Amino acid sequence: MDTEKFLDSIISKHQKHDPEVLVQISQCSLAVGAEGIFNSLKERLPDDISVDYSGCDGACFVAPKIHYEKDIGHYLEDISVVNSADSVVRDYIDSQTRIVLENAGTMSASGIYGYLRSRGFSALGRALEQSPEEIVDLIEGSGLKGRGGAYFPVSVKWRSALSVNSQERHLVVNAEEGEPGVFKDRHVMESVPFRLIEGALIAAYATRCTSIRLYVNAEAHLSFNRMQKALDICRAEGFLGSKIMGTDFTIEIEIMKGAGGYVCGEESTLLNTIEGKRREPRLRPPFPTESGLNQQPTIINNVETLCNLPWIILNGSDEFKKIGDIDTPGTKIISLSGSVSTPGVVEVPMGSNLQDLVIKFGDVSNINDLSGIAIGGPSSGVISSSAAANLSIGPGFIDGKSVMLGAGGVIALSKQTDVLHVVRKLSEYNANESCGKCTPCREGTQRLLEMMGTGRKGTPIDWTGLGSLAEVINAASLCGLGQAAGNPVLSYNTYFE
Amino acid sequence: MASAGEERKRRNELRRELIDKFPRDRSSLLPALHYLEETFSFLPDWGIEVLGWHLGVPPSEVYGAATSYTELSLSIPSHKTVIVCDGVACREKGAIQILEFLKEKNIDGVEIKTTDCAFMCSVAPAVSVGHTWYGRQVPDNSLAELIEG
Amino acid sequence: MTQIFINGKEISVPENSSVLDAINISGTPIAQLCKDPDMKAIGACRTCLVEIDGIRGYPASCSTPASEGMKISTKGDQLNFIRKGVLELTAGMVDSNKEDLRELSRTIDANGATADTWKSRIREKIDDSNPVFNIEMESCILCGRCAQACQSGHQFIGAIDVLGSSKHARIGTFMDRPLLESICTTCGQCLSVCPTGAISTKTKPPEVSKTITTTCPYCGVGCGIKAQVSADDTIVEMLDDPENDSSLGMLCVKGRFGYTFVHHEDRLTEPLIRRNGKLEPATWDQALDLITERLSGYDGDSFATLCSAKATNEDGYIQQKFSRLVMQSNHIDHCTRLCHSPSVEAMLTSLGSGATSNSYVDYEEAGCLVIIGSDANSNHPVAASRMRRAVVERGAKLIVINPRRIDMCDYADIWLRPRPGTDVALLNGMANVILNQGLSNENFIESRTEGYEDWSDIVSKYTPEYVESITGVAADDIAAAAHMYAAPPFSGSCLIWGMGITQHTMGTANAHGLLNLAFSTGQLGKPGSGISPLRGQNNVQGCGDAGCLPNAFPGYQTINADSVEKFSNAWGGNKLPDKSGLVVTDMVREIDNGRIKAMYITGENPLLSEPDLNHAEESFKKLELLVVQDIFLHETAQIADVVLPACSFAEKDGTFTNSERRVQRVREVVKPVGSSRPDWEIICDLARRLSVSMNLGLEEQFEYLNASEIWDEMSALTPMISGITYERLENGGIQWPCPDIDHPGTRFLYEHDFPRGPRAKFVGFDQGPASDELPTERFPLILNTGRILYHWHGGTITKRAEGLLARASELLIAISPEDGEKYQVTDGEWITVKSKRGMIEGRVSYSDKMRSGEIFVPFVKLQEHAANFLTNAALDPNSRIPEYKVCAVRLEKN
Ligand SMILES: Nc1nc2c(c(=O)[nH]1)N[C@H]1C(S)=C(S)[C@@H](COP(=O)(O)OP(=O)(O)OC[C@H]3O[C@@H](n4cnc5c(=O)[nH]c(N)nc54)[C@H](O)[C@@H]3O)O[C@H]1N2
Ligand SMILES: Nc1nc2c(c(=O)[nH]1)N[C@H]1C(S)=C(S)[C@@H](COP(=O)(O)OP(=O)(O)OC[C@H]3O[C@@H](n4cnc5c(=O)[nH]c(N)nc54)[C@H](O)[C@@H]3O)O[C@H]1N2
Ligand SMILES: Cc1cc2nc3c(=O)[nH]c(=O)nc-3n(C[C@H](O)[C@H](O)[C@H](O)COP(=O)(O)O)c2cc1C
Ligand code: SF4
Ligand code: SF4
Ligand code: SF4
Ligand code: SF4
Ligand code: SF4
Ligand code: FES
Ligand code: FES
Ligand SMILES: [Mo]
Repeated sequence: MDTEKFLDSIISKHQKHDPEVLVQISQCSLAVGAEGIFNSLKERLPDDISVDYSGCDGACFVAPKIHYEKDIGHYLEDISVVNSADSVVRDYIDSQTRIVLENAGTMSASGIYGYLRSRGFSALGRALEQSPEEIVDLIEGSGLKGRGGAYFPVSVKWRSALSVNSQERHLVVNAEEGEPGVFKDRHVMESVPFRLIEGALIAAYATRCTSIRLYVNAEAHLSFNRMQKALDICRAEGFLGSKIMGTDFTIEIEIMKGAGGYVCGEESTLLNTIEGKRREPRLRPPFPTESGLNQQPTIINNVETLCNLPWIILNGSDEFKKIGDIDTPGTKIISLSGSVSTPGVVEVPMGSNLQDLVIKFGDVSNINDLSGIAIGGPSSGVISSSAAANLSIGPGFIDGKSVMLGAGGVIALSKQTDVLHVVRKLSEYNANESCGKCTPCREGTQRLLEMMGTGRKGTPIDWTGLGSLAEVINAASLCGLGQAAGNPVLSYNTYFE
Repeated sequence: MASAGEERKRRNELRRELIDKFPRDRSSLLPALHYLEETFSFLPDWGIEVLGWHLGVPPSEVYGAATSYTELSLSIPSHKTVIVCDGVACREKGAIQILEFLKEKNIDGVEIKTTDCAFMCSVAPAVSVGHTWYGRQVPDNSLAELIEG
Repeated sequence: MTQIFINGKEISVPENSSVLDAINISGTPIAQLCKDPDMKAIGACRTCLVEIDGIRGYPASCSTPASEGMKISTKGDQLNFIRKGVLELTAGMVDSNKEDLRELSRTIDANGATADTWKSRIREKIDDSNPVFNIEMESCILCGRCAQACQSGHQFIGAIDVLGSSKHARIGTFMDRPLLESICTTCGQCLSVCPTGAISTKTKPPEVSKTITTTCPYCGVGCGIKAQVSADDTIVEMLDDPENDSSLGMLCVKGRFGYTFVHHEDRLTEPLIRRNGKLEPATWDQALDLITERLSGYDGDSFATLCSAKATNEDGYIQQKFSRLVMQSNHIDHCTRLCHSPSVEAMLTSLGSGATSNSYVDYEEAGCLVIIGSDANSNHPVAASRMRRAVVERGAKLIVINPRRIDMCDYADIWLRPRPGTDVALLNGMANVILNQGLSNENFIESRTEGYEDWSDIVSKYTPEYVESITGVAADDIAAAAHMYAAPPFSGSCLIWGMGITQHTMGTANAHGLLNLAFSTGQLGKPGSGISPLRGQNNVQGCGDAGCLPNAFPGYQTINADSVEKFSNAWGGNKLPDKSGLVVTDMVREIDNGRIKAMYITGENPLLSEPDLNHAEESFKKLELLVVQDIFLHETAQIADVVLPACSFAEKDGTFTNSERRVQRVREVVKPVGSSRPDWEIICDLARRLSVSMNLGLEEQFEYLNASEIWDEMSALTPMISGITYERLENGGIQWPCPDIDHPGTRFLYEHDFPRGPRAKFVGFDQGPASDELPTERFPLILNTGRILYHWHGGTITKRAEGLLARASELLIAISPEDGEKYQVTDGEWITVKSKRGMIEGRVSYSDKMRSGEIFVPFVKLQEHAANFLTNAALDPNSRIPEYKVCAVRLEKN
């Protein structure tokens, strides 16, 4: 049976009306009452209008929202809720470039039909009809880089794992998302869970993996539950387990919960966590691709990274390269928050200008109304608002010094905000999240705090000394956390001292 | 204090549960710790010990791992916990004011904690009450009622 | 070899070296605080940073592999700046006022770093609960070496770990409890690796003036130790020896801290002679002349001697030579009779040799380990660490068979808990499963064994269900264990056993049961498999090898016309007794019968180690002459006529042979205490005097300049050790058989054939009565006796090692809480235990290790109470070992 027929048969099995009303429930909207709306709609809508839930579309600033095509306005009289078809929402979303978040908020997250209807799993079908090598070549051609923060070329990582001879090979989906200010992987899992599954399966097929682990942040309950449900559905419908889509491809996805801490997202720490060890990074070499989970070759990819794969397979690598930057094609999901009028989740082409991004999607009238922008969380730092004009999003130090995009957190800081407090907060975060294994990070981050004057008000701050210490921490630390823990201080030195 | 007999009984019960649910492999450690925490709302010392036996991992190493994870708790939560996110984004939206407000209110039987990010910055500021998160909070009586209720 | 460049200089280093290894080989100084030379890199201290061409940043050299052509720099302004920064942060962690910062202060000085005045970071927790050492967080740099040493780096104990994270990181135990309340065994491995003195002994050892490598005097594992000796000729510290192939740099608490008995004030320093009923000091001449005079009156059949498995091979060899040649007596034995005689008996019958067939490395490589009737964690701690390595690191399966829950059960896949004394049935049951479920190795059975038919006839009725009814072990578990043993997941299977197998009236039958399992599955004669009766005393293997047995000359050359002639010729052409002599247990009976009238006992204390002590004491008191040669005035010595002060292991040269047949050097570390002399020297002196007084002309047979001369004579007469010389032993121990000078020694036996011939022999037994004495209404409980980690047998030595005594100063009567409630004794209560033969007192200790109906008491004598007042002198008919493991007792409240 070929995979297209397989898809047709599943789709025809599910041939019934789309749910007329979708309530968008994600972690953020849940916190502002989405569930209550869902419950009351279920109660008051007549039986012939079906209600279901989806994930959020990313326009968090007007959450909670519902998505409906039928006119049900009169049922909503006393409920304050926005329709995702409203222009505030449409404008926000339509001016983005959506690959990963395509159809987020407009298709059910409780069932698979909505996803299938929007060409879901046809990429996997196509992939399974090609050889794994062809997929790796295609992804190499697309220039896709990882979206977990390090922007490492996906095909290079894959090939490195493929070059190790081993009976077992593992794919670990990194859904830890512990970088403060970032909440995009949660949105992806909550709104397009099946896309993540499809992407992971394509990756596993291409890299001849024998197992897939999906490692979800311990606090992301909603993401966990939604993924678990989606996995069950996939299993029941033949998209997971043995003989996937009627082919010989057989693999399982095991879902597990982390237990907190930014450093859990660091890939080797994550492996230790899965193996039941202390939450500490491993020494490198060996790299996970050579010796990862259970000392077998292991590929670790971010949620967002994997969700690009179906699109690339369906549209081709050339189409993909038309989007974004020549060196880093495609889009990036930015988590936009802080002192902006319209915080949310926005997917924009790589290379987008930072100032434009904040102004356009944050609805900030004048960039100079801000005192600065915190970018990329505690591993990065703050820039002055004026610097934003010359910076664009992409891999590595976007300012060539100490500020990185990381997983894409952008927090606007108001004029009232003392940037020093922000730098201290970010440094404190690093100090608290330090796993405690290596001296420069464990001691150095504490020392930074002490030198920045927590508890010792009034003493002038020795910025030169702080700068030297930050350099030592970055240069000497064992893992990515410590190696970037000096950055907030260094960025302050650059832009504010 | 449980008597020697009761103590052994509850250890044996837990042990049987663990045997049913988790393979005797170190990789079961974190899932099993989650299970303990779900069952007891914290990680009791005897539970860690039983888990260690079941997995063939010395209790000190189970404890070493458990204490390395920031989200596992090793003592009984004595109060109702309210967590106020005082991350960068939430501070932009008034987290500090909320903290000050709650400190002043000093609601009985409530322990106020903070977190560095609750990962819902787009609906900042965020406050958690008993395991539920609420976004866009303001320091006023409705928040106090939410906590008291 | 790999060629690399360090600061421009080319050097070649072995494959698989790290960059740090290479730097160290080149002699370039570099900081390296968290890297222990014998353990894997941790990478925590970040002081070993280097620059490498083509690699970004400053990688830690300890965790970077050296690859061909690599260009490494250890200096440079930026690198120095960073390293100094790290060291200053490190210095900020510790209280710099402490004087003993060891490696840390040297490193800090060498790199020109200044100790930071960052007081707020000092961790204050101090754990001083352990009697020997403290852990003080204020000097800790969290390098993690101690936790590594306690875990997979060495000991696989896991009492301590790095706890918490960020600024809360610390070293501690489960629930941050005091060390003494944890599973810590006080092995001191953590102490030995700590680079800052954060873990250090309570009293700081005085300056060391020399280090001498020798062998641990306690158990048969045979760990290498390095004695640190001060200028005033005192051992001040004992270090582990990473070069030793048996211990791989590990030690247990006794090896590391138990040495203090050497300098204890109770040491015998001069001969004692009984005058008017009292032992009084005498000169060597007086004492030896007295013995000469008295001994010349006895013929060979009325003289018996007990040799010491604590003393050296050379000591043992001389003692049996003396008994045979001068006294004309084959009544020679040693404590193996009370120990592994059933194993030896069974192995001699079935294989033709009585030693452990394999090596500790086979445990590490095995796919399945069966530990039966042995509490290796307590009694062979370092071998046990190597067994745990197999389980934890390599995923080997572990089966424990023991009525009592031992610590090793924590690691077991299967724990079978038979009723005491029912192992014959259990092992037959396992064999039954193996034969009936196609798990046997037919090829091996066919080509390399005999006696299969008779044996399988016996085994056929031991179905798992039938065996369940005898042993109380579930039929399914028996089958599962049989499967696991016969078909390990990888490599082979090892059978490891101890006193729970041997010290029963069915001891020899038990041992045969084990051998039969190995034969039926072919689990011997290949790497990762084999049979291991774990040997007890440090030199019990050697004592037997040296001929301290009633029926064999050195090297197990059985007494017969040929061997008598061979040794007679070698020893000056004199007559030798040609009939086997009495074994220990029979000697006691023959004292009662008036046949044995004089005894010469070295390094054994039968009045604590024999069963039914009240009776044993009566017997020994009947002797006309009792000479005891020991290092302490123990119970037996106290009733002796003459007591001679021997040197301890630390004051003499010689060799010990450990449980894996490894002959290792013992070296004089300090001068003899008082006027004590090495055992061989005393006996040679006595032999010469007797020869003169009885006009035997044997003086020159007892003239030796040193221990090495004795070894040369012995090895020339003993083919299995002929290739071993003191010179070769300088480079580490050698495992016999080692027949010639070029032979590398033997890791495992029986690859091709057996000493008895091409075929090993199945010997079947039926299960008999579980024990000679069964519980009754008056004596309802079964007493199991054995050992604990901190004491050695009756405690003669360990009571004189302060650190050990502090960890176990009272006699604990382990009892299940159910029985506690049933007999209404509370935990911690002081009570009396009685058997038909005697009574003792001790403190009740509720233990979840015990099963209702059984109690356990170690046989150490504490506060004048010793378990052997209770035990039963029933013997195994085949090996004459007493049934120490079962007798009937009751509890009485005080
Ligand atoms: N710390 C320390 N170490 C020692 C010694 C010491 O005195 N102290 N002595 C050394 C000497 S000489 C020797 S021989 C070895 C002895 O070492 P082991 O053989 O380990 O010694 P034990 O503790 O006497 O007994 C071992 C186990 O046999 C079990 N057992 C009792 N009855 C049965 C039974 O019917 N069936 C089975 N399967 N098991 C049973 C007991 O519960 C106990 O755990 O230790 C040596 N090492
Ligand atoms: N109830 C019960 N009884 C038992 C056992 C049991 O499990 N339960 N186990 C039995 C077993 S296996 C054994 S091996 C025996 C052990 O019984 P013993 O061998 O009698 O016990 P140890 O106390 O080890 O005796 C060794 C003596 O050697 C002395 N010594 C040490 N070094 C030297 C030296 O270099 N030269 C000389 N001359 N003397 C030295 C010590 O001071 C000590 O007195 O006990 C047996 N008794
Ligand atoms: C301190 C730290 C935290 C990290 N957290 C995450 C995370 O939450 N999610 C993630 O995907 N990657 C995280 N990473 C990056 C991962 O180590 C890894 O590079 C990534 O998962 C690889 O996936 P990608 O190549 O698809 O981006 C983190 C790295 C560091 C050093
Ligand atoms: S850099 Fe920080 S987080 Fe990383 S290993 Fe070192 S202490 Fe742990
Ligand atoms: S909720 Fe506050 S800072 Fe955080 S995600 Fe804000 S939640 Fe971020
Ligand atoms: S003494 Fe031994 S068992 Fe105790 S903590 Fe140190 S290494 Fe671990
Ligand atoms: S106690 Fe010593 S060995 Fe252990 S971490 Fe601290 S400094 Fe290192
Ligand atoms: S295991 Fe045995 S030989 Fe090794 S140190 Fe301990 S007592 Fe000595
Ligand atoms: S509320 Fe929906 S995107 Fe956050
Ligand atoms: S010795 Fe290399 S990091 Fe400590
Ligand atoms: Mo023994």
